[in-house]
Amino acid sequence: MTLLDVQNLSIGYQTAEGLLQAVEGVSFSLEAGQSLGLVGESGCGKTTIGMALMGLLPPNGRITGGHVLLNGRDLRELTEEEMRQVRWKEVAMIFQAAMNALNPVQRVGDQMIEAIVEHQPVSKAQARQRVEGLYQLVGMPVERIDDYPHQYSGGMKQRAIIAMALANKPKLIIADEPTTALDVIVQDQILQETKNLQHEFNIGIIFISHDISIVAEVCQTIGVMYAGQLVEIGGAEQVFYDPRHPYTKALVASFPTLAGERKELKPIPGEPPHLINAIMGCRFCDRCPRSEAQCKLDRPAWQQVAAGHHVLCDHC
Amino acid sequence: MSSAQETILELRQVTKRYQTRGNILGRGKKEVLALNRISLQVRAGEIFGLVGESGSGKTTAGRLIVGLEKPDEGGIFLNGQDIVGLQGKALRRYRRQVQMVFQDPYQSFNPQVSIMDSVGEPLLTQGVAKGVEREQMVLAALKEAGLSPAESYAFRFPHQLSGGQRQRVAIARAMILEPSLLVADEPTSMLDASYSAQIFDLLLGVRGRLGATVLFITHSLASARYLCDRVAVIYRGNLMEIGPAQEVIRNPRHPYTQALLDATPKFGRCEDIPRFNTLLRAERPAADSGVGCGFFRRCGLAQRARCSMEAPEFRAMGEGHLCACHYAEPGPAQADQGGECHLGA
Repeated sequence: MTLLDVQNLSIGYQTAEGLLQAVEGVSFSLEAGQSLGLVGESGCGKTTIGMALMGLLPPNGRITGGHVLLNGRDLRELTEEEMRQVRWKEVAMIFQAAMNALNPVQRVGDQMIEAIVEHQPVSKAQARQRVEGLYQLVGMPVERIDDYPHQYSGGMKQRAIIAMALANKPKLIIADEPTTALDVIVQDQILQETKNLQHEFNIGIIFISHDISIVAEVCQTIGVMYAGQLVEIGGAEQVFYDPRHPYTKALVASFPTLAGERKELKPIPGEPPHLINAIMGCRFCDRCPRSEAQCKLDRPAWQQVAAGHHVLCDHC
Repeated sequence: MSSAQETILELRQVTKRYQTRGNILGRGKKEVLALNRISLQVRAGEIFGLVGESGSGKTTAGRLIVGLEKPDEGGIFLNGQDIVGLQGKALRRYRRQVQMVFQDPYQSFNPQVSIMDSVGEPLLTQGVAKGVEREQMVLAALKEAGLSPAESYAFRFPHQLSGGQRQRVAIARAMILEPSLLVADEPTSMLDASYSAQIFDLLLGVRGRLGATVLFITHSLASARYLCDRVAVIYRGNLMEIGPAQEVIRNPRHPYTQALLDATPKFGRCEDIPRFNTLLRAERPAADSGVGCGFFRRCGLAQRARCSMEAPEFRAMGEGHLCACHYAEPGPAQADQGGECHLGA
């Protein structure tokens, strides 16, 4: 069953210089219990999409086109009050640097109990019981429930945030760079934990990261974003074994390999375009080794390169 | 390449301790051993990687080497000269030979000072050049760091540059005095992958064209593998393993290095890469403090009787490959699989 269906989504920010088109024409869908990774570099629009799905765009941001269907219901048509019911209960988000999202002067357990009581018809005692269960679930000692955030290590804070995202049993979790500030060993443990929880509770996950390798550890489907657009989407194996879009190829090649000759990494020359200006043709053409004169003028079209594997490029 | 074998930097039994603050009455003060009798040698002209997680002491080592702090015990030698007691003029001369690039390009510049003045400041303080000559040298350094046309960057301010561009400026500033040793502390950990690759290339160029030695401090096996000739792996102040970068990362012998490789996210054709599973899920209770192996509490291979009581000595695992573990054994090199397995940062 399709859990989330995003169709032709466009999002803009009103800025002093005019409307900045941060996301344009992005479409993807997610089946229940599946995971989709959105990768791309700073400013490509991946976090903006996450915020839009949560209905948490900043005041100067708005959805300028397209639809976001969650279990068939268009989130754009909900009132703020209805959205508040959806948020955390049906869709939860693990923010970037979420460890700083905990209130420093309130015990961690109390913060979680509050989050549960807010959305569920349960007593505080029942909520506390559920929090104890959640602690066990994410591999944290239950006796730490009454500690304050500063008594936790970075990894423990992150686990607490994951536990909080799970508290209301959402069907969809949006994880935006959930492990960025952590050491690799802790990161690995949390990624494995996330995978286990996802399977156990059949949760759909949208995993947002600038680091391909992290997304590759967790997700079945990968979408690569560049300058506000999705440019390639397919199964994780397809996208990473056989990348087709020149940007994906360059991105993959900028990660060193474990063995073999020390291949020259291929830095991508130049910088992404400024999105304040309307862009006619392909957004990557100025940095693309294969671009032709026509690429600058024609809006590229989606091509299917294999079953379930699509690229936004006319020359791939 | 005989010059490549000369030792430029040596750490001999370097120990550094910090006091934690304790509470308002000064109770609960603890001593933290940031570096525990570290010895290593860096050869002239190589890129040497110091690899460790946060809290490993790798940044402390960098700060001791550039003279920002002093060790509690042990000696640090540059070209055979002990630098620990340097003061005044001698210290200033030393600073000219050893420069540092910091992790955070958003905090390592004064926001009110132009790129020209930031990069040119060492020339003034060291009395190397001023006026037009100084400007020419700054422009040349910016160009060398891949910022061209240099004139268009020189009169901008830090906020007008991206993170990657700032890190290039930081490298230009560090290299303008043509130091013989550059200490780079996680210079790419805040950058996107494609910009990291640009900075790596720049560091390779710094070594290649300017002949500088680079001490590269990183948490990432991937960047160490790409950039370094040799690496040392450090865990909570203790050196665990040291050797040629390819060898240590592809065929790690220390259970901690093995755990690091296990945990490093990978993509591409990685199904042939075995997992070592050397990490305990929960830490053991501490052994008597100060003795035994530094990795004892997390190590799946440790035997209490020995590992908690007896600090392991370095033993040879291969050519120039040393490992401080009682139970590590030199084994057959892994077949050359992994050529298409990419490592994450």
